[in-house]
Amino acid sequence: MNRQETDRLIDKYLEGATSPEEELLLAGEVSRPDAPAEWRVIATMLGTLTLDEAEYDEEMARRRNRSMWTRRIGWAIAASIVVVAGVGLWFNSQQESSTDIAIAYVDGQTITDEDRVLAMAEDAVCDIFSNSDAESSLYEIFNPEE
Amino acid sequence: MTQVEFEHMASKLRPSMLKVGMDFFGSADDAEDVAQEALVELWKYAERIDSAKRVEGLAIRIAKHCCVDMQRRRRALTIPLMPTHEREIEADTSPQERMEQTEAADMLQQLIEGLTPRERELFELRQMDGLSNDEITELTGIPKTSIQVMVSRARRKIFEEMKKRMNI
Repeated sequence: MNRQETDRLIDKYLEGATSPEEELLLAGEVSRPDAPAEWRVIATMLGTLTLDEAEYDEEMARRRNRSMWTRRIGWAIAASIVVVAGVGLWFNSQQESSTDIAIAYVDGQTITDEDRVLAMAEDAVCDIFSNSDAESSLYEIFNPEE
Repeated sequence: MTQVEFEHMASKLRPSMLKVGMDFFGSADDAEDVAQEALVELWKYAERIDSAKRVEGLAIRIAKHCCVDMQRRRRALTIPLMPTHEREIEADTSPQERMEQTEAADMLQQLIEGLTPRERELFELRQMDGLSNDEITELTGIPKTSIQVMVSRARRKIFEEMKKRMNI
């Protein structure tokens, strides 16, 4: 509140037209250490109960505001952790799925069991190169550039 | 109001006072101290409690005052242990200012006593009980406009007289 607003509120107070809430607001203004002498008179007239009630309410509002920000920061940190963990899990699952996929199509059937697919591939390669080692044959098949 | 009547009323007001203290200090022991001090303070108002229209409102205002006052006293206890420059920053008021405040409060009391009985009643219902003009109308049956006129007259009388006495 600026000086003019406080002066207007003082006039309203002297007219007997202020509400209790406005008087608490006024109490906060006129009890400042740098308040002019006239304002000090108003502070005395408002009385200790009003001045201290204003101080109490101001302090409680300050604490509520502080705890609201603390809660918000807490939620922001928690949300960041969840996002980072989520991205990490998704990335991990993408990597796993790209390395561990094993699919075989045999007689119109789809087989996804990794052990079965590898065993069938080994058998097939062994059938083709019955005289060579299956592992080196597979290596040659999947690395044709060499 | 007799002591027995006060004790009966105090047992009903105590939980509200404890809550005010608990909210402020967050400690059950401190809240007990607040309720205790507030009841002692309230007893000083026993004379006007008979005429107080909303005792619970007054009790809560007194409890809040006790919280702020207790905090102020605790701060004052720690100030002598601080270095001089910090002491000056932390201290709310100097002894000189405190003396002036006490003198001003005494002057106000004298001036309130000089008001007409009706003006005095309305001034105190606004100042001590913290009631609005609407609430006073509801409780006393006096029209709101008349209340505003009488409160204004009382406040202006006191304001002008205080300024004159304080050479402002």
